[in-house]
Amino acid sequence: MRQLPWRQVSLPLFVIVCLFAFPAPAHAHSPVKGMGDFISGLFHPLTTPSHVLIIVGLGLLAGRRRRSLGLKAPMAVFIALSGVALMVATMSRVKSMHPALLLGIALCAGVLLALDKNPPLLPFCALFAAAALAMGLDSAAEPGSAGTVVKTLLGNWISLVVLIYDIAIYVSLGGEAKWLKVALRIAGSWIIAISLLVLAFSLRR
Amino acid sequence: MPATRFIIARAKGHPARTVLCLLLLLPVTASAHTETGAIGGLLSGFKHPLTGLDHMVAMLAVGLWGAFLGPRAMWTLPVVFPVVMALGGAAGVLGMPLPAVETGIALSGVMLGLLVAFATKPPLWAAAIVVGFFGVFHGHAHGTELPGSANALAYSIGFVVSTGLLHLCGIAFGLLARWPWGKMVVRAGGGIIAAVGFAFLFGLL
Repeated sequence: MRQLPWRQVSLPLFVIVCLFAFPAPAHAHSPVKGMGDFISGLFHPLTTPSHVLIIVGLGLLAGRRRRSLGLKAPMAVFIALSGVALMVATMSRVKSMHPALLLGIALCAGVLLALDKNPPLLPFCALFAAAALAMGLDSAAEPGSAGTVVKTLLGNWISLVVLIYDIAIYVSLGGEAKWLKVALRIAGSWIIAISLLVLAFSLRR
Repeated sequence: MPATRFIIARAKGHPARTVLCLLLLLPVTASAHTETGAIGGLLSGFKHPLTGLDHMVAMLAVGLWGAFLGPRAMWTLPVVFPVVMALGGAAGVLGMPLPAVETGIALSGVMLGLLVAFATKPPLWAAAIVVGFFGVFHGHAHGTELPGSANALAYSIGFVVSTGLLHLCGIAFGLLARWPWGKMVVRAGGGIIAAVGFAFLFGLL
């Protein structure tokens, strides 16, 4: 192999080093532009902090319940009602729900977690139904073409269901571990604290 | 400027070095991590408990005492504290007055530190009342000091998570009490916390 003369290589190398040294503004965490309708719908629950609080609360509750009683009924209620609520909100142009309602649902989930209480099936389904309706009615899609609206709603719906189910599955993998019980109680107390503080904020305004 | 003169002297007669030095001197603005909106609220809330030493040592003491008292207290105290703290925070947000808030915060460090230092082991309910009592003062102070422009929900999430993580740090330190030498280290830690509390109480810090 022919060896390259050092002098010939040194100049391009020097230029490359200089280019690496050239400072440029750092644009970390820039907003995602050009996000598709479906992806935008998928991200919607994650970009709404009150929804995140409810999703985490319900997911943890569901995961804990999975160990003792069935999860099929509450999840079926959630899937059906969240879909209906998303459509109703978009068609009737519901603006948004009062934050106190969303936080009240999160507070309920937090209290049940912190007290380590497993309510009977009916109240449990009622909590899931309330959450589905509140989050669905709070997530109306922006007006646009039918395709855009359907894709956004579909993304939002899938995201809501999958997030709760994912958290539930991962929590249930912990089985009956003692540390998990403690972690769930602590998480519940955090959800209560956050909900109480934000309820106070909403009352102040 | 001496720095510029030094760079010019080093680069003299070496065009390559001159170019490199000039490129490194090009100033640009760094626009990463702009703290606005929900992210701003989250970061602001997360930093809040970490910026006051009096708050920080009391949070660590809660976890430390919990771990020192045994497995039940280890999760009970970090569950009780955020909930009661949030009630105090809500009172602060709503403008309800609470006398001697700063004294209460300083006393929390003194009391909790001394309880750990003297290895006091009261019944669980009594420990929960002590922790809850001081939690009100911490919450009230955080509630009244809250910046008006912050995103309330994101701020609360950051604030509660940060407080909880400080408890977990205290628990981790308190778990050293399993070993005889660790018990002494934990009690010494309690003594340091009490000393910091005294310093705040008498205005030395």
